[in-house]
Amino acid sequence: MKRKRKSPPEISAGSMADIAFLLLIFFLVATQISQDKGVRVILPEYYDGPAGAAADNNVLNIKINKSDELMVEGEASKLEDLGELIPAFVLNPKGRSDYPSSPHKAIISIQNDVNTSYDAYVYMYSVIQSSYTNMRRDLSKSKFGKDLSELDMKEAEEIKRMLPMKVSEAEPFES
Amino acid sequence: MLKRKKKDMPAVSTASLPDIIFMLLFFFMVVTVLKSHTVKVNFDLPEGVDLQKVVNKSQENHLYIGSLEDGTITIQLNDAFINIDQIRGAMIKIKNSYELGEKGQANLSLKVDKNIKMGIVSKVKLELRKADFRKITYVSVRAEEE
Repeated sequence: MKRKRKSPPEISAGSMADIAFLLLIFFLVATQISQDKGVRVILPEYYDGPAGAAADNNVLNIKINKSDELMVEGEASKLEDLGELIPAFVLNPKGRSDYPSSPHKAIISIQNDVNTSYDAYVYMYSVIQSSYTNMRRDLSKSKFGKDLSELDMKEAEEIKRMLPMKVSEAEPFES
Repeated sequence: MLKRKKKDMPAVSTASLPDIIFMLLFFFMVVTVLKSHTVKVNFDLPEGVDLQKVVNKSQENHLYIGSLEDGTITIQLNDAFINIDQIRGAMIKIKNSYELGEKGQANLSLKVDKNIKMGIVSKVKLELRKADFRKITYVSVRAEEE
């Protein structure tokens, strides 16, 4: 008689926490908060007409062919060297007459083949962007004494105005 | 008095602990997005240097160019396959679906296989320019430094 009156034993909830923890850790590990990274580009406005010509000394012609080989200003060169060629052209430290007289006049003109691989194209574009970022970083150090990321809106605008990244893309050629 | 001291301390109840953990679990399940849409094309991302983050993920549209199982090169915009000549209309539609103030933030992530030839990418770029959808990101992975 005594036994029947006794209430049934409580189910231990102590291990519930462990089970929930296991699930939680599984989700923490399995979900990847992946942030996409890439080369951000603003395409030029669509314009159907004759292309405007820029003075030859202001334009750096970069061509990339179907075998992903690079030609800069008529000379064969390597993707790895592009990071040095661009600042040398844009900033023109030696004052060459066939290079732009002022950095904000510089235009990077790229032309690719229809058979150029996307890999080489993106790499080339990212190198152009990164060399501009480096130039801007140096300018910001010498002008404001601060790093690029610490500049306020007005100063950042100023840097961009002095070193605008002008990339023109010609119609791809077919070979 | 003596009797009291001998009595055991009551155990701290752990009954509410699972509830707390479950709450955390649900929080994570809701916050993390497992997959935004099913990607049906296969692609290997290209490499680049000095990459920027894709800022506003919710405003993001995706265009994939890659190959299917049988090797045919296919374009997928968000959730559906698309032809090159349909891109322009689709992009204008997407652009119009944004609120007026948000139009400038509309961004397109291009996830393209690195072995794709530029010919097709150039055609896509031309269509995007015609649709006046000009902010794009070439999604890539960081090149290994030597």
